[in-house]
Amino acid sequence: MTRLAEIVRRYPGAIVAVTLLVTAVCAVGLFRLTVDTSQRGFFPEGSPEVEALDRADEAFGGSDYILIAASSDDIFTPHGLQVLKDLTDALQDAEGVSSVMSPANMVEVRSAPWGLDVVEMLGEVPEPDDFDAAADVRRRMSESSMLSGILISEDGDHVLTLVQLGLDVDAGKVGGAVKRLVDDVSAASGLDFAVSGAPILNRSSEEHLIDDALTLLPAATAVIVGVLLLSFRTAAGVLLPLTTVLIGVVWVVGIMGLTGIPVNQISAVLPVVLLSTGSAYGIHMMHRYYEELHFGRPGDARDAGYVPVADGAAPRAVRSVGLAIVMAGVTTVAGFGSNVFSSIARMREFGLLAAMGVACALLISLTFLPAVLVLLERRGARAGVARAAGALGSLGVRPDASAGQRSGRHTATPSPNHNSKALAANRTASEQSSKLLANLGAAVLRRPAVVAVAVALLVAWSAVGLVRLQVDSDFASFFDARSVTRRDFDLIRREFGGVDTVQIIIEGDILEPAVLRAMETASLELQQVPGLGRVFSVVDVVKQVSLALHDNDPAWNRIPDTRDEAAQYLLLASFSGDLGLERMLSLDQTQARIQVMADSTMNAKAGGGTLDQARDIVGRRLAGVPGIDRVDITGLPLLGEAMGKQIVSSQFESLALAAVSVLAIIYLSLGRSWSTALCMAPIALTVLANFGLMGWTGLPVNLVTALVSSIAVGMGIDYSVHVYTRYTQNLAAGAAPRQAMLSTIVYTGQAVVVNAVSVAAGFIVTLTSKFPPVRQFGALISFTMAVSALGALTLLPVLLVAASERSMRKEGQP
Amino acid sequence: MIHISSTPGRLKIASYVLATALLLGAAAMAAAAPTAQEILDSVDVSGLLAGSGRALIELLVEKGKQAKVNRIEVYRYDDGKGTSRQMVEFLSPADVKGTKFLSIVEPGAEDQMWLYLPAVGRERRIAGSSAQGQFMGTDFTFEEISLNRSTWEQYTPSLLADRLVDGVLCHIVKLAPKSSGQSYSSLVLCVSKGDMNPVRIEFYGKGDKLQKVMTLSWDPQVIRLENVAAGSTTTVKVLEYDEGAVPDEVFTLRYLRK
Repeated sequence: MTRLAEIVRRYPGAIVAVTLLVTAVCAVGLFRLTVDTSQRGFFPEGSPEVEALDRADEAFGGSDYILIAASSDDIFTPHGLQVLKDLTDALQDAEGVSSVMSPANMVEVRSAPWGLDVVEMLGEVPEPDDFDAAADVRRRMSESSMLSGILISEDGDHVLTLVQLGLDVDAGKVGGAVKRLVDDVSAASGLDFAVSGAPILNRSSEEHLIDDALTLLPAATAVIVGVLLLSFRTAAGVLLPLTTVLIGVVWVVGIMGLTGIPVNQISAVLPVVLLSTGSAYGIHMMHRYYEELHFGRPGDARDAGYVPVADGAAPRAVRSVGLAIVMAGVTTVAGFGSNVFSSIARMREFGLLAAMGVACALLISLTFLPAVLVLLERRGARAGVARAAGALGSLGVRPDASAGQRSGRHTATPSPNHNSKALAANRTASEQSSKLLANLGAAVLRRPAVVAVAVALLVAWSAVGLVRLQVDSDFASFFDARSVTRRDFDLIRREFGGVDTVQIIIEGDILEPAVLRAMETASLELQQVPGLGRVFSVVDVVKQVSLALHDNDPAWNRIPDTRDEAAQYLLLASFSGDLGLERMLSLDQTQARIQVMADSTMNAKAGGGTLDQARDIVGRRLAGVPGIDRVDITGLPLLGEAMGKQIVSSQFESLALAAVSVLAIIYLSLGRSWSTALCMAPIALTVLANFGLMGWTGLPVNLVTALVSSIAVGMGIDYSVHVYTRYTQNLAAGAAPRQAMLSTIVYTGQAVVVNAVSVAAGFIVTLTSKFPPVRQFGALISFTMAVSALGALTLLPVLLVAASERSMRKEGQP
Repeated sequence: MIHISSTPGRLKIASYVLATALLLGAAAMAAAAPTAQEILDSVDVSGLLAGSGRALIELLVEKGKQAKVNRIEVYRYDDGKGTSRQMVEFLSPADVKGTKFLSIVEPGAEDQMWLYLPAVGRERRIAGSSAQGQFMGTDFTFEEISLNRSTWEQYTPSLLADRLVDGVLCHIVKLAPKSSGQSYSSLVLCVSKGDMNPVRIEFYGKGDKLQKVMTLSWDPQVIRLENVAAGSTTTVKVLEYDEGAVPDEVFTLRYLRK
């Protein structure tokens, strides 16, 4: 730190210039930022489910669908049918759309009295006043096995249009275009449509993300300005730490732009996280600077005729408080950084970027900030002693009358601790809080049993909550229950058994009757599983052709007996592209896909039972059947499930990693005593309480809230470290344990409370986020900051004092 | 394509499949600076789907890493007065070998299409509308496989600047639909200035989005249709052709069942 202080003293201009240059370069990156809110980025890379889905996409075209639902009463009128037909046509022409399945364009192979017919089920749209014809269309379609349960809900009340997106298209963009198209049709026709599916959720996420960016950053900045104003009440005190942390934000977000890392739902909160955590370092530095400014060189403050001594105050501040800031920063970096080994790319990315951002804020606070102070000091020095006070004024030491008076008074009765104007202004409040803290400290030390009981109760409460903890990997949870996005999602999920599909990919000799029969049996069983909806596959097409070729004789609603027969049925079916054969069977007929409508929220409620049953059916009915070489089960619900498991495992991994690295850091830097481990006690309590709260309040472990515990470890440890350091210093100065702790609680306690409150205040702005998980994240971080601060001021003192007294007894001291 | 001739009644079997090829035609050769209409007129389409004979054709459909190949044999009779008969028989792959389609078009009578699936063992009449989709499961629609003069008549031609198409200097004719309801918003026809053969046709959909590109080459006779929207390609290759008359008995239900 001495060397760093020396560098700051010698080359302040160079430091400022380099910092500004780097900032300018990074600022370029701000204009290259891209957004990616797709679900795929959340899934563990290289998992079998993702690989199977990629293969399926390649063989059958994209597996992204947009679902558009409308009420049957609206659609089955002459006007409604015309609207649906026009909408279907328009969708088919839309950029990025690969196919559209709607009751308006579905065809069926049908047996006619004179032979075989392939007909559009809708046929001609009825004349505007021919309601009977429209009712007839409704009856025909509701009875059709090709539509009922797929494009017409089981109860017949809703009609669905399925829009398949092409491969390698920007799903969010296509989703936005389709949504606009549907909105236009809706406005022009007066009919309501619900629109959902992964691309629509992507699109909404992007919009919310931009809203968040526009509100969260200014709100967090305002909160930080408020905290800085309360702490310093000076322009420099507000501007310098704020500039420091904003530069850090520009660096990290700029690097994202320059390296092409897109912004997503999680990393969108990065600026807020950095503002709240990173501003602490600048605050520490400024506090110390003001102290140094008034102390001057050792002994100066006690000199009669005190004048503020600016020269070298900033380097001295670096020397004295630098290590403490680095400690606080490094543990926070460890907390964020512990997520870099997560198997979920988005969590890894966030961990890395946040760690980098904190490190940047730390670096800037230790270099740029004091360098600017040095430059300002020199400007003051050049202006001459007479104007020194004026220059200092710009640093926040306003040479106004009251300050002069106060300086004078302080000269008469030197009281170094109260020389800072900012501190003086806060004195009353500070005295009050000191009294509170003194009472707290006394109570805690007098009745450690009360603390023990309170902690035990909290542990018990948390343990019970822990059992109720839920994991949520459902992408829909990123939307408010009352939002249009969620309302549409829920409607389609309810009426059509989900907006996602489970996909079973079969490789082998698909046309072998044994294979087709196995697929048929599996399909029938899958359809019975709660949480799964209609199943469709090439089996349906084969049976449909068989029926049509045999005069609709129900006995022929079956799989043919020979391979050739199946091949010839499918040849016939292939002449009519609208049967959607290419979505079910690969061109070379070696891969088939069974699609099952699935409600992923149902699976979560059934504790994974839905997908377990599906896997079981696939294992029993398809795997090992002669003619089937390989069978995979995949789809968004399975990816979501895999993600849920990964969230839990990475949660524990990163938590353990954060705990171990933080413990190592404090052990190495706090004098290598085993008692440093006691600092982990409030943190352990915090993590437990965090999960307990989540369990009791029903806040699920999701992609965002899973980050909380490791971050809490890295940030919350600071309070324990402050208390521990001050306490050992007091002991070393010869104080008895209880006395040493009481003074620690009174003096350090204030800093701990202020810091916890300001971090919590910074995070609380996320409560205005459009993403529920982000709001939960902010609330939980605020909660953990409160618990870890309280733990550091109650539990830790009791433990430390007990440990000291025990070791004293061992050593035979009274 | 395949030996287009302006003489009615002569064999033009392959032309059935390679319809567009007929654009070129033997008729009028280009004047020094022909108009769009003159270029269009110079492409003889009078014999499209007319003519008689036999052709052996390979249909290759490719999408991504996948491919399927069918071989078909086509027999055709056309009297040039509105009566045409056509038999398509699948030769491979083995599981569909023997599958046949017979279609009979006679003036004043309803079109008849018959299907025979050997595995089912009997013929079924199928509706004309069954054949409205893709031609034999390829990327070609029936409209595309049978582009003809009446197709052009629904569009207004205009001449664009000459350009090189696959190394061949071409007249470029843009065809804009005369009325709404056409499958395409425009077609761009590239006709070689050298021999007045069409070498490429681009099909544009709504918003002038390129949907399909048809490339034609003559030796060997190959038409390649790239379906831009679907990401697949169909290549039609004429392996053999024979302009000899086809016996009437080929176009009967008895032959269909054979």
